[in-house]
Amino acid sequence: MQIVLEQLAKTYKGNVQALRDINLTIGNGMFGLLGPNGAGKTTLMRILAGILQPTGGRALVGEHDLATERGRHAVKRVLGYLPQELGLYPDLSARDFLDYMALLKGLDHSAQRKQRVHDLLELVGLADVARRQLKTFSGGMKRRVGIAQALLNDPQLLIVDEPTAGLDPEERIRFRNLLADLGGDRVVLLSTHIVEDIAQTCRNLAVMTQGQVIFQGTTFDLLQAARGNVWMVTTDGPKPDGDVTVMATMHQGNAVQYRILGQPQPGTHAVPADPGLEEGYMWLMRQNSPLLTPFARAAYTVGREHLSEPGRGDA
Amino acid sequence: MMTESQRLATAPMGVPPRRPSAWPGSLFLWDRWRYELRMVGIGSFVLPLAIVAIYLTFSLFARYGALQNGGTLADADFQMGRGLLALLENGLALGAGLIAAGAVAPDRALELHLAAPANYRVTVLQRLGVVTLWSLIIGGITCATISATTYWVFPVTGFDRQLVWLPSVLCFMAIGAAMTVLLRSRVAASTILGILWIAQFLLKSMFLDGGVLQRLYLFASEQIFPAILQVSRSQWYDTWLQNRLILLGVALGFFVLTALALSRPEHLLGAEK
Ligand SMILES: Nc1ncnc2c1ncn2[C@@H]1O[C@H](COP(=O)(O)OP(=O)(O)O)[C@@H](O)[C@H]1O
Ligand SMILES: [Mg+2]
Repeated sequence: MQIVLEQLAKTYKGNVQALRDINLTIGNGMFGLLGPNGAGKTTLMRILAGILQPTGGRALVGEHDLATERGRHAVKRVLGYLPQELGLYPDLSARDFLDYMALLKGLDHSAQRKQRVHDLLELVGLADVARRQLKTFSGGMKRRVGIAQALLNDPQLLIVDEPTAGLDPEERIRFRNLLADLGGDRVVLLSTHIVEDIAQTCRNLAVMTQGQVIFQGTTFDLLQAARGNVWMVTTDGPKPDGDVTVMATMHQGNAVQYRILGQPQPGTHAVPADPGLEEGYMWLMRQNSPLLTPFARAAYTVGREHLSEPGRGDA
Repeated sequence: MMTESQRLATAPMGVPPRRPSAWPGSLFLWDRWRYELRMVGIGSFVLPLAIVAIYLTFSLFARYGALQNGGTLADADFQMGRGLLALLENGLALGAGLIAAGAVAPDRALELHLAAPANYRVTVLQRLGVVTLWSLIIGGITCATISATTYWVFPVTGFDRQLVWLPSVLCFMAIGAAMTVLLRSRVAASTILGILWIAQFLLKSMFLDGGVLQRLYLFASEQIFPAILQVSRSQWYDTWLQNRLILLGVALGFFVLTALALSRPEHLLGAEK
């Protein structure tokens, strides 16, 4: 299964341009969509889920065209979707909720449906609370119910929108691991504003901001974007200033060690460091911030050319 | 190598899930109706019955009060009949409007439903259909029962008697449903229904003075009664019948509006905060 987006655009009422000119090709496996709040991730996911119609360009899921009613219906039949704002019926038990969702997905055969619901409750580790009302569930448990309903029809396209938002660290890691196991023979699309989520699960990703894709490649490519721009500065004096971002601060006795993202080198005593994914992302966002200095813009252009070199990092 | 969860996620389920129904969310499944009835909620079925009980109680009190005040038996029965007429035309209508608003209220799992192959509009209309049917059953039975007693006071016969309650009940339902979907709020719609209901009493004279509003007056039986007993049938019957039929048309219009509004996912999801 392949998703192809060509010059995809979505303008909401009131002339809100949520997506402009999105070009992406997404194949099987896990694909991350990273971007700050308001970047247009949810809008893109809703279009791919057949909920919203694009206002321009083309969106193909397999051979189905999302611009047509028939295409959207066909996509929904192979889709699993976990929305950002997951609404559940508080008075239904987990089992009944999944049974109802399975009916909506066309699993008509009663015995098969019950088996499937049972299997999925096992999968997400909720079998022993299957009869409890959903209103008694924690945030993490609700998300797991959410992912279970998404998997009912064994989807070829699984879309999860900010699935770790609002989860505590332990729940977040468990949920991530669950998602990572689901890749394989299907497209799994994960949107998030948390770099860590992507770092742990996806090899391919796109970064969005203000309705545009500003990066597509592997996590390694993104990390490379910050290479040469990350420094360690150890000082007992003032915090380094200038056009830099402090990524981390570590106290070491009287001195403080700063991890810095910026150009040029912040003082001669700064030591170059290996970039992390978060720094790659931050670097990219810095280059695309509307408050760009002319210098930063020039650096961005260089960075971009560097990134679009074919074959880079595709080891 | 497959992990345990991968194995489970792709585990066969008897018949493979890749071959689901040709009509996802089919209306021909009892299981489906069972859930939709739960979604509608027991309260929606109880409310009309409660309204019947309340109006019946007040009507009995009115009858008892008339006798206590030295009225004749005929007087007392007439008081009771007026109470039951109010039940038919005003009481049932408000209850029906409120349960219609509840039935089409934004689904809690709206986004999941919109992403499922079953059509959301069909689901909501299914729920609306359930409460409409229930309201029609209650109205029909109540009307027939009163008809069979000596407490029927409104001077029409035969099917015309069903026209006492049917148009107002359907209008309140359709307006309640349309407002809920358009405003995406059951509470807002219920408030509008309440205002509309009270307005019928407050603006009675304005409505009854003729003109267009006369044709749209929702309580054209109960509120013109017993005044019509003083005049000849030819002076009110045609206007009354016209009013009833026009209201049926209005109800149909709002039902269609509801169905149309339900097919716009962008509207249903609302603007992001
Ligand atoms: N229904 C809507 N009507 C109008 N504007 C919207 C609507 N939904 C989202 N937007 C706007 O579109 C932009 C992208 O939103 P969204 O897709 O939710 O971004 P993200 O999921 O990345 O946070 C934002 O500016 C948001 O305010
Ligand atoms: Mg979002």
